Amino acid sequence: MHEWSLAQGLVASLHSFAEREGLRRITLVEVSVGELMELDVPVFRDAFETLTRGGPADSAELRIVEEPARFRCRRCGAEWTFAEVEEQIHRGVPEDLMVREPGGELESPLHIFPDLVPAFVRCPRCGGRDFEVLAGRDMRVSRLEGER
Amino acid sequence: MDSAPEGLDPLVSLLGERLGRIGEVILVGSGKGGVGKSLVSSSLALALSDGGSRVGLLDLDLHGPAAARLMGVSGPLESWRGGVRPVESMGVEVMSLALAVGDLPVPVSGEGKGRLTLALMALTDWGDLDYLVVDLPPGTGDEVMIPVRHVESARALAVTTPSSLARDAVRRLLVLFRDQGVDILGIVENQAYVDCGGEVVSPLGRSFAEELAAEFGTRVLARIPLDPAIGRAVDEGIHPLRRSGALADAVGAVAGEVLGRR
Ligand SMILES: [Zn+2]
Repeated sequence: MHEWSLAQGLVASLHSFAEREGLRRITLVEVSVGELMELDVPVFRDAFETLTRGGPADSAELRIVEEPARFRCRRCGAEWTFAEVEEQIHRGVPEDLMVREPGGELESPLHIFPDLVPAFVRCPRCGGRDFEVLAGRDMRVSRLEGER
Repeated sequence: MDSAPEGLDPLVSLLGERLGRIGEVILVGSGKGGVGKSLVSSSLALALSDGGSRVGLLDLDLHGPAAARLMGVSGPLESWRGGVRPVESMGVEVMSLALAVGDLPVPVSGEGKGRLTLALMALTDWGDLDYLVVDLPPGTGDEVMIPVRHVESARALAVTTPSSLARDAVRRLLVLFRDQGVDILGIVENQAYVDCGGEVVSPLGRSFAEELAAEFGTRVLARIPLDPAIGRAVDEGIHPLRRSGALADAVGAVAGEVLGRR
C-alpha cells in the first residue's frame, strides 16, 4: 500500500531533476525495482499517472524493470535467489508483526522495509542470519528521456 | 536529453516532502548508550505535546529502541496510501523499527542501517507536526549520518552523564554536529546528582557538562538528578515524566529552550 508514497517520492525527484536540468518535458522514466520490494506494479503505475498529471512528467512512459534479488551468506558463502527463500519471506513473519492495511489485509514488513530481511530470513544452507543482499533490494531511476 | 540520471533518489525526495510539513526537527544524541538519551528524548516529546504542540518521536535506535518502549507503543504497524502510520501514545506520534521487527535481532550492515533509516524517515506519514524529536542511535555511523545529512536546519541536544567515558562519546558527536553545521541547542546532563534531603552529592563522579558547553559555545540546559521514582515508573510501565518532579522540572527547562528558539 506504500506504492503511492514511493510514486510520490519518484515524481518529486523527477520534478526537481527537470527544474535543475532545465527540462521542459520528461518523456520516459525507467525505474529499476528490486524483486525483494514485491512492488504492486498496477497500483504504482496508477499512482504515477495520477501524481505526474499537470507537471513536466505528465504522460511520460513509465518503464519498470525488475531487478532479481540475490543473497550471499557471510558465514558459509552460499548464494541464493528470491525463489529459494520465498517461502520464508512469505511465511517467516510472525502474525503479530504483519502490517495492517486499511481494508484489513495484512502485508509483510519486508514489503515496506526490504533491508529488514535478515530479521525474517535465514541462509538456506547454514541457517545463519549474517548475509548480504547483493541485488534486488531497492528502487532506482535507471534511465530518463526528456526535452529541453 | 537521454541518460542514466545522477542524484535522483525517490526516498530522499519523499523525505524532503515529509519534512516540509514539520516545523522543526530536534536530534537527541549521546554518542553512547546507557546515559538516558531515550529518557530525555521521550520526556521532551511529552513535555512539548503537553504544552499543546503537535509532536512526533522517531526512535532510530535499531538495536535498543528504548524511547519507543518508554512510550509504551507496540506493533503491528499500519500502512495506507500515505505511507506507514506512527502509533499515538499519550498525545505523541511514535515511530520505531521495533514496531516492524518486535524482539527479533536485525543483523544489518552499516550501509543497510543507513538505508533502513532513510526508508523509515521517508515512509512514515507524520502529517503536520510542530516538532519531530529524533532519538539518535549510539555512534556516528550511517544511521546517525542520514538524519544529519538530510534534515536541513535540524537542531541538536546532547545528553551525557558525569563520566569521562560519556564525555568522550558525546564530544565526538558534538564535533560531528559542529562540522556538519547542525545547530547545538544545548547539553543535558543526566544522573547528575542525588538530592539527599537537601544535601546534593554526585555519586557518578565529576561533571564535564560545563566544560563541553564552553568548548562548543553552547549551554547546559538541564541537570537531571538520579531519582528512584524514574526507575520505579519504568518498571510499572508509566512514563517517568509523570512520576518524577525533578525530571519534569529539568525537561521543562529544555522544552522552554526549544520553544523559545522557534
Ligand atoms: Zn550460510
